[in-house]
Amino acid sequence: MGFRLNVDGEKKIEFGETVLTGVQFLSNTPSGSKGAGRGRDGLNLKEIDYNTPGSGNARATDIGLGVKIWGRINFSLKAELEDATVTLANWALQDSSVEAAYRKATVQVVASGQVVREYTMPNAFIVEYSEDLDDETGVGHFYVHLRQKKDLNAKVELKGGFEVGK
Amino acid sequence: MSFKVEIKDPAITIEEECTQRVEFRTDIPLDSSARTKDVGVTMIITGKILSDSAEVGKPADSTSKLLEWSKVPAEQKEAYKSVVVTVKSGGISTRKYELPNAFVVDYFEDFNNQEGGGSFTLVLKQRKNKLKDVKVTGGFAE
Repeated sequence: MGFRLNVDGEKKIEFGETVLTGVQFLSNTPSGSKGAGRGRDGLNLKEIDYNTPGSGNARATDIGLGVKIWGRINFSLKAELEDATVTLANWALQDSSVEAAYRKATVQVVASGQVVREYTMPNAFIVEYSEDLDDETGVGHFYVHLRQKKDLNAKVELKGGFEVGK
Repeated sequence: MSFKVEIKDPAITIEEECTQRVEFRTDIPLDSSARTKDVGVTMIITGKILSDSAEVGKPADSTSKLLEWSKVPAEQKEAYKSVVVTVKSGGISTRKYELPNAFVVDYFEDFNNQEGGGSFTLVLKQRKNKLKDVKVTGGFAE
């Protein structure tokens, strides 16, 4: 199972199967008593207490859509390939003052010649970004959590079950 | 043991090969001194996302329709669906859970590059004012 990430912008970010190691899609409802926003994002299911009656009596409008992505930082020796994780790190540092804080991100999950999933978030922004490096493994690891701008949730495209070869 | 997950309006049937685990739970506040009126019902369905290129042009499973459902906001009537889960053992239906007004609380899809398939987690709740419509039945003859 392999993954591809494409991000539009002045400097494009393109990661393929050799870079990305894991993808998680999230659709969250905010916990009723804890207010809107990021309350529950990023929490493991085990940490969520569904016994709390506050966590929703009926379907919410305020849903959050996002994707978490894990990958390797394959440092480019002699700079023969441009390392797009640098672009990603700079995007993570960008605050909301410029238009480039929001970018169009597309994630594909590919297996046995078939695109199993395609998530497109036309107004994605970064809520979490981290890099992990040590003296053991030779490559670094990064983690990025993208969210769609909430008022534009309707523009998110979620597709699956593609024909083979597409 | 296998699970048949049927969702209506519009219909989504999750293949029995996909669903791995179903958790049905009642949500009762732990701080109550006596029996509460504020009871809720949560159902957590976890399973596999299969990819299969054996049949050209056919999607391998129906899980992508859950993905679409997870995006529907409350304004649209498709946000609520009827969900029926039938548990089968030895060719007999042993239990049936019916949530006629279920909505998505959380939905996750997980993929990694060490496994060939992905996994999904669907957290559903019954609309609280329609709690009495939830049915748990069992002990069927056939």
